[in-house]
Amino acid sequence: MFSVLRFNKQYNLSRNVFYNLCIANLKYSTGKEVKRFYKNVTISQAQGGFEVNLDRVKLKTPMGTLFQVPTEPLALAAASEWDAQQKFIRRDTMLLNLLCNTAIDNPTGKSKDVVIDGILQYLDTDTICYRLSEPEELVELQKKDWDPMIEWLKHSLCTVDHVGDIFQKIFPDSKIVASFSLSRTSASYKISEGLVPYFKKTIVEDLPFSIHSIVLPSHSHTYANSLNTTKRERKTTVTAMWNFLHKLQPQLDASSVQDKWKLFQADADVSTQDIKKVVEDYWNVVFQLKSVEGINCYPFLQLVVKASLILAQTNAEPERSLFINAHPIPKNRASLGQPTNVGLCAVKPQNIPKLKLSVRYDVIVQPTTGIDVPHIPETTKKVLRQHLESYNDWALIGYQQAVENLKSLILALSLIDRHLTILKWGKVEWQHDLDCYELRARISAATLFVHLNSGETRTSFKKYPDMEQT
Amino acid sequence: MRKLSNLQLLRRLLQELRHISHKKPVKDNLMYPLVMSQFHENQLTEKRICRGENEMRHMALTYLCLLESLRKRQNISQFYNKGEISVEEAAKLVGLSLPLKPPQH
Repeated sequence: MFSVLRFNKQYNLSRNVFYNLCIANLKYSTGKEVKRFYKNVTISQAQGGFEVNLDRVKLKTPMGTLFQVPTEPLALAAASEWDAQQKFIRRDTMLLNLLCNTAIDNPTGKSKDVVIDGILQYLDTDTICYRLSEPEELVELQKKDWDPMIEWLKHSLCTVDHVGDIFQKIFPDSKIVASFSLSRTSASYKISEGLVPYFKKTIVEDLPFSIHSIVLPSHSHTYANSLNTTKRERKTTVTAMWNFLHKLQPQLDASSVQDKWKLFQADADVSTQDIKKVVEDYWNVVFQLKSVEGINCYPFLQLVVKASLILAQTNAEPERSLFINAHPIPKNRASLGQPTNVGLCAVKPQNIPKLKLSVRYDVIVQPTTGIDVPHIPETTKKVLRQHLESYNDWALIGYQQAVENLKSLILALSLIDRHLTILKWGKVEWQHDLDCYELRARISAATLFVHLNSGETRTSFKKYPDMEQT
Repeated sequence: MRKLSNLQLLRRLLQELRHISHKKPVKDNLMYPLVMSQFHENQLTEKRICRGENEMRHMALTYLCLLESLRKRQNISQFYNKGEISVEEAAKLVGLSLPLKPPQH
Protein backbone atom coordinates (compact mmCIF):
# COMPACT_ATOMS: atom_id res chain seq x y z
CA MET A 1 0.00 0.00 0.00
CA PHE A 2 2.78 2.42 0.82
CA SER A 3 4.46 1.86 -2.50
CA VAL A 4 1.20 2.60 -4.31
CA LEU A 5 0.84 5.84 -2.35
CA ARG A 6 4.36 6.88 -3.17
CA PHE A 7 3.78 6.22 -6.86
CA ASN A 8 0.63 8.31 -6.83
CA LYS A 9 2.43 11.14 -5.14
CA GLN A 10 5.13 11.22 -7.77
CA TYR A 11 2.59 11.00 -10.53
CA ASN A 12 0.63 13.85 -9.04
CA LEU A 13 3.75 15.89 -8.57
CA SER A 14 4.78 15.76 -12.20
CA ARG A 15 1.22 16.32 -13.33
CA ASN A 16 1.15 19.35 -11.09
CA VAL A 17 4.35 20.61 -12.61
CA PHE A 18 3.01 20.08 -16.11
CA TYR A 19 -0.20 21.90 -15.28
CA ASN A 20 1.71 24.81 -13.84
CA LEU A 21 3.89 24.93 -16.91
CA CYS A 22 0.83 25.29 -19.08
CA ILE A 23 -0.39 28.17 -16.97
CA ALA A 24 2.99 29.82 -16.92
CA ASN A 25 3.17 29.56 -20.68
CA LEU A 26 -0.16 31.18 -21.31
CA LYS A 27 0.81 34.78 -21.08
CA TYR A 28 -2.44 36.47 -20.45
CA SER A 29 -4.34 33.61 -18.85
CA THR A 30 -5.09 34.99 -15.41
CA GLY A 31 -4.01 38.07 -13.55
CA LYS A 32 -2.45 35.89 -10.88
CA GLU A 33 1.22 35.37 -10.81
CA VAL A 34 2.49 31.85 -11.11
CA LYS A 35 4.70 30.66 -8.33
CA ARG A 36 7.88 28.82 -8.98
CA PHE A 37 6.66 25.25 -9.16
CA TYR A 38 9.85 23.40 -9.88
CA LYS A 39 12.99 22.85 -7.92
CA ASN A 40 15.65 21.92 -10.40
CA VAL A 41 16.32 22.91 -13.96
CA THR A 42 18.47 20.73 -16.16
CA ILE A 43 19.15 20.32 -19.85
CA SER A 44 19.24 17.15 -21.88
CA GLN A 45 20.23 16.26 -25.37
CA ALA A 46 17.70 14.70 -27.69
CA GLN A 47 17.61 13.97 -31.37
CA GLY A 48 16.42 17.37 -32.51
CA GLY A 49 18.65 19.37 -30.23
CA PHE A 50 18.93 20.35 -26.61
CA GLU A 51 15.94 20.52 -24.30
CA VAL A 52 15.27 22.13 -20.95
CA ASN A 53 13.72 20.13 -18.14
CA LEU A 54 11.91 21.67 -15.18
CA ASP A 55 12.05 18.92 -12.57
CA ARG A 56 10.77 16.04 -14.66
CA VAL A 57 8.78 17.91 -17.25
CA LYS A 58 10.18 19.02 -20.57
CA LEU A 59 9.79 22.69 -21.31
CA LYS A 60 7.35 23.68 -24.02
CA THR A 61 6.85 26.90 -25.95
CA PRO A 62 3.68 29.01 -25.48
CA MET A 63 2.19 27.42 -28.56
CA GLY A 64 2.74 23.94 -27.19
CA THR A 65 5.66 22.67 -29.24
CA LEU A 66 8.62 21.08 -27.57
CA PHE A 67 11.35 23.55 -26.67
CA GLN A 68 14.43 22.49 -28.60
CA VAL A 69 17.49 24.55 -29.37
CA PRO A 70 20.36 23.61 -31.65
CA THR A 71 23.33 24.48 -29.44
CA GLU A 72 24.25 23.59 -25.91
CA PRO A 73 25.32 27.05 -24.66
CA LEU A 74 21.98 28.47 -25.76
CA ALA A 75 20.11 25.72 -23.91
CA LEU A 76 22.18 26.35 -20.81
CA ALA A 77 21.51 30.08 -20.93
CA ALA A 78 17.77 29.51 -21.38
CA ALA A 79 17.76 27.01 -18.52
CA SER A 80 19.61 29.37 -16.24
CA GLU A 81 16.95 32.02 -16.90
CA TRP A 82 14.31 29.62 -15.60
CA ASP A 83 16.55 28.81 -12.67
CA ALA A 84 17.00 32.48 -11.85
CA GLN A 85 13.31 32.91 -11.10
CA GLN A 86 12.69 33.32 -7.42
CA LYS A 87 9.29 33.10 -5.84
CA PHE A 88 7.19 34.13 -8.80
CA ILE A 89 7.77 33.51 -12.46
CA ARG A 90 8.51 36.73 -14.29
CA ARG A 91 8.33 36.08 -18.01
CA ASP A 92 9.66 39.53 -18.85
CA THR A 93 13.06 38.72 -17.37
CA MET A 94 13.47 35.63 -19.54
CA LEU A 95 14.61 37.39 -22.68
CA LEU A 96 16.55 34.57 -24.28
CA ASN A 97 13.60 32.25 -23.78
CA LEU A 98 11.42 34.78 -25.50
CA LEU A 99 13.72 34.81 -28.52
CA CYS A 100 13.92 31.02 -28.60
CA ASN A 101 10.14 30.71 -28.43
CA THR A 102 9.73 33.20 -31.26
CA ALA A 103 12.24 31.28 -33.34
CA ILE A 104 10.58 27.91 -32.71
CA ASP A 105 6.95 29.01 -33.01
CA ASN A 106 7.27 31.73 -35.61
CA PRO A 107 3.90 33.16 -34.56
CA THR A 108 3.75 35.80 -37.25
CA GLY A 109 4.61 33.24 -39.89
CA LYS A 110 7.24 35.36 -41.56
CA SER A 111 9.65 33.82 -44.00
CA LYS A 112 13.34 34.64 -44.05
CA ASP A 113 12.98 37.10 -46.92
CA VAL A 114 10.23 39.04 -45.20
CA VAL A 115 12.32 39.30 -42.06
CA ILE A 116 15.32 40.58 -44.02
CA ASP A 117 13.13 43.11 -45.81
CA GLY A 118 11.90 44.33 -42.47
CA ILE A 119 15.42 44.71 -41.15
CA LEU A 120 16.61 46.54 -44.25
CA GLN A 121 13.75 49.01 -43.95
CA TYR A 122 15.42 50.31 -40.84
CA LEU A 123 18.33 51.44 -42.95
CA ASP A 124 16.21 54.12 -44.59
CA THR A 125 15.55 55.72 -41.26
CA ASP A 126 18.74 54.77 -39.52
CA THR A 127 19.45 56.83 -36.44
CA ILE A 128 23.09 57.26 -37.32
CA CYS A 129 22.19 58.93 -40.55
CA TYR A 130 19.97 61.56 -39.03
CA ARG A 131 22.08 64.38 -37.77
CA LEU A 132 21.06 67.62 -36.20
CA SER A 133 22.54 70.81 -37.46
CA GLU A 134 22.66 72.64 -34.14
CA PRO A 135 23.92 73.03 -31.36
CA GLU A 136 27.53 72.95 -32.42
CA GLU A 137 28.70 70.64 -29.68
CA LEU A 138 26.09 68.07 -30.56
CA VAL A 139 27.13 68.18 -34.20
CA GLU A 140 30.73 67.63 -33.19
CA LEU A 141 29.80 64.79 -30.90
CA GLN A 142 27.74 63.12 -33.58
CA LYS A 143 30.58 63.49 -36.03
CA LYS A 144 33.08 62.08 -33.58
CA ASP A 145 31.05 59.06 -32.55
CA TRP A 146 28.96 58.21 -35.56
CA ASP A 147 31.23 58.93 -38.52
CA PRO A 148 33.70 56.18 -37.58
CA MET A 149 30.83 53.74 -37.66
CA ILE A 150 29.97 54.63 -41.22
CA GLU A 151 33.63 54.31 -42.15
CA TRP A 152 33.78 50.92 -40.53
CA LEU A 153 30.73 49.87 -42.47
CA LYS A 154 32.40 50.74 -45.74
CA HIS A 155 35.46 48.68 -45.02
CA SER A 156 34.09 45.73 -43.20
CA LEU A 157 31.40 44.59 -45.56
CA CYS A 158 32.71 45.42 -48.99
CA THR A 159 36.02 43.67 -48.58
CA VAL A 160 34.24 40.46 -47.76
CA ASP A 161 31.70 40.64 -50.54
CA HIS A 162 34.09 40.62 -53.47
CA VAL A 163 35.38 37.24 -52.49
CA GLY A 164 32.18 35.88 -53.94
CA ASP A 165 33.02 37.51 -57.27
CA ILE A 166 36.52 36.10 -57.23
CA PHE A 167 35.16 32.63 -56.69
CA GLN A 168 32.80 33.10 -59.59
CA LYS A 169 35.69 33.94 -61.86
CA ILE A 170 37.70 30.95 -60.79
CA PHE A 171 34.82 28.53 -61.13
CA PRO A 172 32.54 30.12 -63.69
CA ASP A 173 30.43 27.07 -64.28
CA SER A 174 29.66 26.11 -60.72
CA LYS A 175 26.12 26.48 -59.47
CA ILE A 176 27.14 26.52 -55.83
CA VAL A 177 29.48 29.42 -56.36
CA ALA A 178 26.82 31.41 -58.16
CA SER A 179 24.81 31.67 -54.97
CA PHE A 180 27.54 32.54 -52.51
CA SER A 181 26.60 34.90 -49.76
CA LEU A 182 29.21 35.71 -47.22
CA SER A 183 29.31 36.66 -43.59
CA ARG A 184 32.28 36.75 -41.35
CA THR A 185 32.61 33.13 -40.35
CA SER A 186 31.51 31.63 -43.62
CA ALA A 187 33.76 34.04 -45.49
CA SER A 188 36.74 33.02 -43.45
CA TYR A 189 35.96 29.37 -44.04
CA LYS A 190 35.62 29.89 -47.77
CA ILE A 191 38.81 31.90 -47.98
CA SER A 192 40.91 29.51 -46.00
CA GLU A 193 39.57 26.31 -47.51
CA GLY A 194 38.87 27.46 -51.03
CA LEU A 195 40.83 30.47 -52.15
CA VAL A 196 44.05 30.00 -50.30
CA PRO A 197 45.04 26.56 -51.61
CA TYR A 198 44.32 27.77 -55.14
CA PHE A 199 46.42 30.89 -54.85
CA LYS A 200 49.19 29.31 -52.91
CA LYS A 201 49.59 26.72 -55.63
CA THR A 202 49.80 29.31 -58.40
CA ILE A 203 52.17 31.53 -56.46
CA VAL A 204 54.47 28.67 -55.63
CA GLU A 205 54.53 27.54 -59.25
CA ASP A 206 55.18 31.02 -60.61
CA LEU A 207 57.63 32.51 -58.23
CA PRO A 208 60.78 30.43 -58.65
CA PHE A 209 60.84 31.34 -62.31
CA SER A 210 60.14 35.02 -62.15
CA ILE A 211 62.92 37.54 -62.10
CA HIS A 212 61.89 39.18 -58.90
CA SER A 213 61.82 36.23 -56.59
CA ILE A 214 63.91 36.01 -53.51
CA VAL A 215 64.55 32.71 -51.88
CA LEU A 216 65.12 31.98 -48.25
CA PRO A 217 66.19 28.71 -46.75
CA SER A 218 63.45 26.33 -45.95
CA HIS A 219 62.43 25.45 -42.46
CA SER A 220 59.32 23.59 -43.36
CA HIS A 221 59.91 20.09 -44.49
CA THR A 222 56.40 19.46 -45.63
CA TYR A 223 56.55 22.57 -47.73
CA ALA A 224 59.78 21.42 -49.33
CA ASN A 225 58.21 18.14 -50.23
CA SER A 226 55.21 19.73 -51.76
CA LEU A 227 57.24 21.57 -54.38
CA ASN A 228 58.69 18.40 -55.81
CA THR A 229 61.90 20.01 -57.01
CA THR A 230 65.38 18.62 -57.35
CA LYS A 231 67.45 18.06 -54.30
CA ARG A 232 69.63 21.11 -54.87
CA GLU A 233 66.68 23.42 -55.20
CA ARG A 234 65.05 21.89 -52.21
CA LYS A 235 67.70 23.54 -50.08
CA THR A 236 66.23 26.92 -50.77
CA THR A 237 62.55 26.44 -51.18
CA VAL A 238 60.60 28.91 -49.07
CA THR A 239 59.79 31.73 -51.41
CA ALA A 240 58.88 35.23 -50.45
CA MET A 241 56.30 37.23 -52.32
CA TRP A 242 58.65 39.73 -53.81
CA ASN A 243 56.11 41.30 -56.11
CA PHE A 244 54.10 42.30 -53.14
CA LEU A 245 57.09 43.76 -51.38
CA HIS A 246 58.05 45.63 -54.50
CA LYS A 247 54.79 47.48 -54.39
CA LEU A 248 55.45 48.51 -50.85
CA GLN A 249 58.65 50.29 -51.62
CA PRO A 250 59.22 50.82 -55.31
CA GLN A 251 62.58 52.42 -54.87
CA LEU A 252 64.07 49.24 -53.56
CA ASP A 253 66.13 47.78 -56.33
CA ALA A 254 65.20 44.18 -56.84
CA SER A 255 68.20 43.10 -58.79
CA SER A 256 70.80 44.56 -56.46
CA VAL A 257 69.28 42.84 -53.47
CA GLN A 258 69.05 39.62 -55.35
CA ASP A 259 72.70 39.87 -56.33
CA LYS A 260 73.72 40.35 -52.74
CA TRP A 261 71.71 37.30 -51.74
CA LYS A 262 73.32 35.18 -54.39
CA LEU A 263 76.76 36.22 -53.23
CA PHE A 264 75.88 35.40 -49.69
CA GLN A 265 74.53 32.00 -50.60
CA ALA A 266 77.65 31.18 -52.54
CA ASP A 267 79.79 31.94 -49.55
CA ALA A 268 77.74 30.59 -46.74
CA ASP A 269 77.48 26.95 -45.97
CA VAL A 270 73.76 26.53 -45.89
CA SER A 271 72.39 23.23 -44.82
CA THR A 272 68.80 22.43 -44.22
CA GLN A 273 69.65 20.13 -41.39
CA ASP A 274 70.12 22.81 -38.83
CA ILE A 275 67.48 25.42 -39.47
CA LYS A 276 68.27 27.23 -36.30
CA LYS A 277 71.82 27.87 -37.46
CA VAL A 278 70.58 29.10 -40.81
CA VAL A 279 68.19 31.58 -39.27
CA GLU A 280 70.83 32.75 -36.88
CA ASP A 281 73.32 33.22 -39.70
CA TYR A 282 70.94 35.26 -41.73
CA TRP A 283 69.89 37.27 -38.78
CA ASN A 284 73.30 37.98 -37.40
CA VAL A 285 75.09 38.64 -40.65
CA VAL A 286 72.81 39.64 -43.47
CA PHE A 287 70.16 41.58 -41.66
CA GLN A 288 72.64 43.52 -39.63
CA LEU A 289 74.01 45.13 -42.77
CA LYS A 290 73.31 48.78 -42.69
CA SER A 291 73.61 51.33 -45.41
CA VAL A 292 75.79 54.40 -45.21
CA GLU A 293 73.14 56.35 -43.30
CA GLY A 294 72.79 53.65 -40.72
CA ILE A 295 69.44 52.31 -41.86
CA ASN A 296 68.86 48.61 -42.23
CA CYS A 297 69.45 47.38 -45.74
CA TYR A 298 66.78 44.76 -45.77
CA PRO A 299 63.82 45.91 -43.67
CA PHE A 300 61.35 44.02 -45.80
CA LEU A 301 63.29 40.82 -45.80
CA GLN A 302 63.36 41.00 -42.04
CA LEU A 303 59.62 41.27 -42.10
CA VAL A 304 59.28 38.33 -44.40
CA VAL A 305 61.45 36.12 -42.22
CA LYS A 306 59.67 37.21 -39.11
CA ALA A 307 56.33 36.58 -40.72
CA SER A 308 57.31 33.07 -41.62
CA LEU A 309 58.66 32.26 -38.20
CA ILE A 310 56.13 33.67 -35.85
CA LEU A 311 52.56 32.88 -34.96
CA ALA A 312 50.33 35.62 -36.35
CA GLN A 313 48.84 38.04 -33.91
CA THR A 314 45.44 37.43 -35.28
CA ASN A 315 43.48 34.26 -34.78
CA ALA A 316 41.64 34.81 -38.01
CA GLU A 317 41.72 31.69 -40.07
CA PRO A 318 42.14 33.31 -43.49
CA GLU A 319 45.09 35.43 -42.45
CA ARG A 320 46.94 32.55 -40.98
CA SER A 321 46.24 30.26 -43.85
CA LEU A 322 47.65 32.83 -46.26
CA PHE A 323 51.06 32.60 -44.64
CA ILE A 324 53.42 30.54 -46.68
CA ASN A 325 54.46 28.74 -43.59
CA ALA A 326 51.19 27.18 -42.63
CA HIS A 327 52.70 25.69 -39.53
CA PRO A 328 53.92 28.60 -37.51
CA ILE A 329 56.51 28.30 -34.76
CA PRO A 330 58.89 25.62 -35.87
CA LYS A 331 59.99 23.32 -33.12
CA ASN A 332 63.37 24.82 -32.53
CA ARG A 333 62.40 28.43 -32.55
CA ALA A 334 62.69 28.41 -28.82
CA SER A 335 66.34 27.59 -29.13
CA LEU A 336 67.20 30.58 -31.29
CA GLY A 337 69.96 32.70 -29.92
CA GLN A 338 69.49 35.90 -28.06
CA PRO A 339 70.52 38.38 -30.77
CA THR A 340 68.15 36.63 -33.16
CA ASN A 341 65.28 36.85 -30.74
CA VAL A 342 66.01 40.46 -30.02
CA GLY A 343 66.19 41.14 -33.70
CA LEU A 344 62.89 39.36 -34.29
CA CYS A 345 61.18 41.41 -31.65
CA ALA A 346 62.63 44.62 -32.97
CA VAL A 347 61.24 44.10 -36.44
CA LYS A 348 58.08 46.12 -36.73
CA PRO A 349 56.13 46.94 -39.86
CA GLN A 350 55.48 50.50 -38.77
CA ASN A 351 57.94 52.17 -41.08
CA ILE A 352 56.46 50.75 -44.23
CA PRO A 353 54.51 53.29 -46.26
CA LYS A 354 50.86 52.30 -46.42
CA LEU A 355 49.62 50.60 -49.53
CA LYS A 356 46.95 52.49 -51.34
CA LEU A 357 44.28 49.89 -51.50
CA SER A 358 41.82 50.35 -54.25
CA VAL A 359 38.68 49.22 -52.57
CA ARG A 360 35.36 49.44 -54.23
CA TYR A 361 33.09 51.42 -52.02
CA ASP A 362 29.89 49.63 -52.62
CA VAL A 363 28.50 50.44 -49.24
CA ILE A 364 27.67 54.13 -49.24
CA VAL A 365 25.65 55.69 -46.51
CA GLN A 366 25.37 59.44 -46.41
CA PRO A 367 24.26 61.15 -43.24
CA THR A 368 21.65 63.87 -43.60
CA THR A 369 20.45 66.78 -41.60
CA GLY A 370 16.80 67.66 -41.77
CA ILE A 371 13.81 65.49 -42.48
CA ASP A 372 14.84 64.04 -45.83
CA VAL A 373 15.38 60.34 -46.11
CA PRO A 374 19.04 59.64 -46.87
CA HIS A 375 19.65 58.25 -50.31
CA ILE A 376 20.86 54.67 -50.06
CA PRO A 377 22.10 53.28 -53.37
CA GLU A 378 20.92 49.87 -54.54
CA THR A 379 24.36 48.32 -54.33
CA THR A 380 24.49 49.07 -50.61
CA LYS A 381 21.20 47.32 -50.08
CA LYS A 382 22.36 44.37 -52.14
CA VAL A 383 25.54 44.01 -50.12
CA LEU A 384 23.68 44.24 -46.84
CA ARG A 385 21.04 41.80 -48.00
CA GLN A 386 23.69 39.27 -48.91
CA HIS A 387 25.30 39.78 -45.55
CA LEU A 388 22.01 39.18 -43.74
CA GLU A 389 21.15 36.16 -45.83
CA SER A 390 24.19 34.40 -44.55
CA TYR A 391 22.69 34.18 -41.08
CA ASN A 392 20.38 31.29 -40.34
CA ASP A 393 16.71 31.70 -39.43
CA TRP A 394 17.24 31.69 -35.73
CA ALA A 395 20.03 34.21 -35.76
CA LEU A 396 17.88 36.51 -37.89
CA ILE A 397 15.22 36.63 -35.16
CA GLY A 398 17.89 37.93 -32.82
CA TYR A 399 19.05 40.38 -35.48
CA GLN A 400 15.53 41.70 -35.93
CA GLN A 401 15.15 42.23 -32.21
CA ALA A 402 18.46 44.09 -32.04
CA VAL A 403 17.60 46.37 -34.95
CA GLU A 404 14.13 47.12 -33.63
CA ASN A 405 15.45 48.09 -30.24
CA LEU A 406 18.36 50.10 -31.52
CA LYS A 407 16.29 51.70 -34.30
CA SER A 408 19.43 51.53 -36.40
CA LEU A 409 20.77 48.84 -38.69
CA ILE A 410 24.30 50.21 -38.68
CA LEU A 411 24.56 50.00 -34.92
CA ALA A 412 23.22 46.47 -34.91
CA LEU A 413 25.73 45.49 -37.60
CA SER A 414 28.67 46.89 -35.71
CA LEU A 415 27.50 45.31 -32.48
CA ILE A 416 26.96 41.86 -33.91
CA ASP A 417 30.20 42.00 -35.85
CA ARG A 418 31.88 42.67 -32.54
CA HIS A 419 33.08 46.10 -33.52
CA LEU A 420 31.31 47.63 -30.50
CA THR A 421 30.50 46.39 -27.05
CA ILE A 422 27.36 47.28 -25.13
CA LEU A 423 28.96 48.33 -21.88
CA LYS A 424 30.48 51.26 -23.68
CA TRP A 425 27.23 53.08 -24.30
CA GLY A 426 26.24 56.00 -22.19
CA LYS A 427 22.91 57.22 -20.96
CA VAL A 428 20.63 59.92 -22.21
CA GLU A 429 20.13 62.69 -19.68
CA TRP A 430 16.42 62.62 -19.18
CA GLN A 431 15.86 58.97 -19.81
CA HIS A 432 14.98 56.82 -16.87
CA ASP A 433 17.56 54.36 -15.70
CA LEU A 434 14.83 51.79 -15.92
CA ASP A 435 14.43 52.32 -19.65
CA CYS A 436 18.18 52.32 -20.10
CA TYR A 437 18.60 48.97 -18.41
CA GLU A 438 15.61 47.54 -20.19
CA LEU A 439 17.06 48.54 -23.53
CA ARG A 440 20.50 47.22 -22.67
CA ALA A 441 19.07 43.92 -21.52
CA ARG A 442 17.06 43.49 -24.70
CA ILE A 443 19.96 44.36 -26.96
CA SER A 444 22.43 42.12 -25.14
CA ALA A 445 19.96 39.27 -25.27
CA ALA A 446 19.52 39.78 -29.01
CA THR A 447 23.27 39.95 -29.68
CA LEU A 448 23.95 36.90 -27.58
CA PHE A 449 21.19 35.04 -29.37
CA VAL A 450 22.72 35.81 -32.77
CA HIS A 451 26.17 34.73 -31.66
CA LEU A 452 25.01 31.57 -29.93
CA ASN A 453 23.19 30.54 -33.06
CA SER A 454 25.84 31.23 -35.63
CA GLY A 455 29.20 30.38 -34.15
CA GLU A 456 31.27 27.30 -34.82
CA THR A 457 34.18 26.02 -32.89
CA ARG A 458 36.97 23.96 -34.29
CA THR A 459 40.19 23.13 -32.56
CA SER A 460 43.05 22.18 -34.84
CA PHE A 461 46.29 21.15 -33.34
CA LYS A 462 49.57 22.55 -34.54
CA LYS A 463 51.77 19.94 -36.18
CA TYR A 464 55.47 20.16 -35.84
CA PRO A 465 57.29 19.46 -39.11
CA ASP A 466 59.55 16.49 -38.94
CA MET A 467 63.02 17.94 -39.04
CA GLU A 468 65.09 14.83 -38.88
CA GLN A 469 64.54 13.64 -42.44
CA THR A 470 66.75 14.85 -45.26
CA MET B 1 34.96 53.99 -20.04
CA ARG B 2 36.47 51.37 -17.85
CA LYS B 3 38.76 48.86 -19.43
CA LEU B 4 38.07 45.45 -18.00
CA SER B 5 40.82 42.94 -17.94
CA ASN B 6 39.79 39.35 -18.60
CA LEU B 7 40.14 38.48 -14.96
CA GLN B 8 37.94 41.36 -13.88
CA LEU B 9 35.42 40.36 -16.47
CA LEU B 10 35.36 36.81 -15.18
CA ARG B 11 34.93 37.99 -11.62
CA ARG B 12 32.03 40.25 -12.48
CA LEU B 13 30.37 37.47 -14.44
CA LEU B 14 30.68 35.14 -11.47
CA GLN B 15 29.27 37.84 -9.20
CA GLU B 16 26.23 38.09 -11.41
CA LEU B 17 25.86 34.33 -11.46
CA ARG B 18 26.06 34.36 -7.69
CA HIS B 19 23.18 36.85 -7.60
CA ILE B 20 20.96 34.68 -9.67
CA SER B 21 21.88 31.52 -7.81
CA HIS B 22 20.30 32.98 -4.67
CA LYS B 23 21.88 31.18 -1.77
CA LYS B 24 22.98 28.09 -3.61
CA PRO B 25 26.72 27.91 -4.26
CA VAL B 26 27.70 29.44 -7.57
CA LYS B 27 29.38 26.24 -8.72
CA ASP B 28 25.98 24.57 -8.85
CA ASN B 29 24.73 27.13 -11.31
CA LEU B 30 24.04 25.88 -14.80
CA MET B 31 26.16 28.47 -16.54
CA TYR B 32 29.18 28.13 -14.30
CA PRO B 33 30.93 25.20 -16.03
CA LEU B 34 30.26 26.74 -19.42
CA VAL B 35 31.70 30.12 -18.46
CA MET B 36 34.78 28.61 -16.86
CA SER B 37 35.46 26.24 -19.73
CA GLN B 38 35.09 29.02 -22.29
CA PHE B 39 37.53 31.22 -20.42
CA HIS B 40 40.03 28.40 -20.09
CA GLU B 41 39.81 27.27 -23.68
CA ASN B 42 40.09 30.67 -25.23
CA GLN B 43 43.23 31.80 -23.54
CA LEU B 44 46.02 32.39 -25.98
CA THR B 45 47.49 28.93 -26.17
CA GLU B 46 49.49 27.02 -28.69
CA LYS B 47 46.40 25.39 -30.11
CA ARG B 48 44.77 27.31 -32.89
CA ILE B 49 41.16 27.90 -32.00
CA CYS B 50 39.01 29.51 -34.60
CA ARG B 51 36.92 31.46 -32.18
CA GLY B 52 39.50 33.90 -30.94
CA GLU B 53 39.97 35.43 -27.59
CA ASN B 54 38.30 38.64 -28.69
CA GLU B 55 35.16 36.84 -29.66
CA MET B 56 34.87 35.14 -26.32
CA ARG B 57 35.53 38.41 -24.58
CA HIS B 58 32.80 40.13 -26.53
CA MET B 59 30.36 37.37 -25.73
CA ALA B 60 31.31 37.50 -22.06
CA LEU B 61 30.81 41.26 -21.99
CA THR B 62 27.43 40.90 -23.66
CA TYR B 63 26.30 38.25 -21.21
CA LEU B 64 27.54 40.36 -18.31
CA CYS B 65 25.59 43.32 -19.63
CA LEU B 66 22.47 41.17 -19.93
CA LEU B 67 22.64 39.83 -16.38
CA GLU B 68 23.62 43.15 -14.88
CA SER B 69 20.89 45.13 -16.66
CA LEU B 70 18.21 42.62 -15.72
CA ARG B 71 19.24 42.71 -12.09
CA LYS B 72 19.40 46.50 -11.92
CA ARG B 73 16.08 46.86 -13.64
CA GLN B 74 14.57 44.42 -11.19
CA ASN B 75 16.03 46.37 -8.25
CA ILE B 76 14.68 49.68 -9.47
CA SER B 77 11.21 48.39 -10.19
CA GLN B 78 11.01 46.58 -6.87
CA PHE B 79 12.08 49.67 -5.01
CA TYR B 80 9.64 52.06 -6.63
CA ASN B 81 6.79 49.86 -7.59
CA LYS B 82 4.94 48.97 -4.44
CA GLY B 83 2.15 47.31 -6.36
CA GLU B 84 -1.40 48.32 -6.88
CA ILE B 85 -3.27 49.93 -4.06
CA SER B 86 -6.53 48.43 -2.84
CA VAL B 87 -9.98 49.90 -3.53
CA GLU B 88 -10.16 51.35 -0.04
CA GLU B 89 -6.87 53.18 -0.40
CA ALA B 90 -7.91 54.53 -3.79
CA ALA B 91 -11.12 55.90 -2.30
CA LYS B 92 -9.23 57.49 0.57
CA LEU B 93 -7.09 59.37 -1.92
CA VAL B 94 -10.07 61.42 -3.00
CA GLY B 95 -11.47 61.70 0.50
CA LEU B 96 -14.25 59.19 0.21
CA SER B 97 -14.83 55.99 2.04
CA LEU B 98 -16.51 52.81 0.98
CA PRO B 99 -20.22 52.39 1.70
CA LEU B 100 -21.10 50.20 4.68
CA LYS B 101 -24.32 48.75 3.32
CA PRO B 102 -24.62 47.18 -0.08
CA PRO B 103 -26.70 49.26 -2.53
CA GLN B 104 -30.40 48.32 -2.47
CA HIS B 105 -32.17 47.70 -5.72
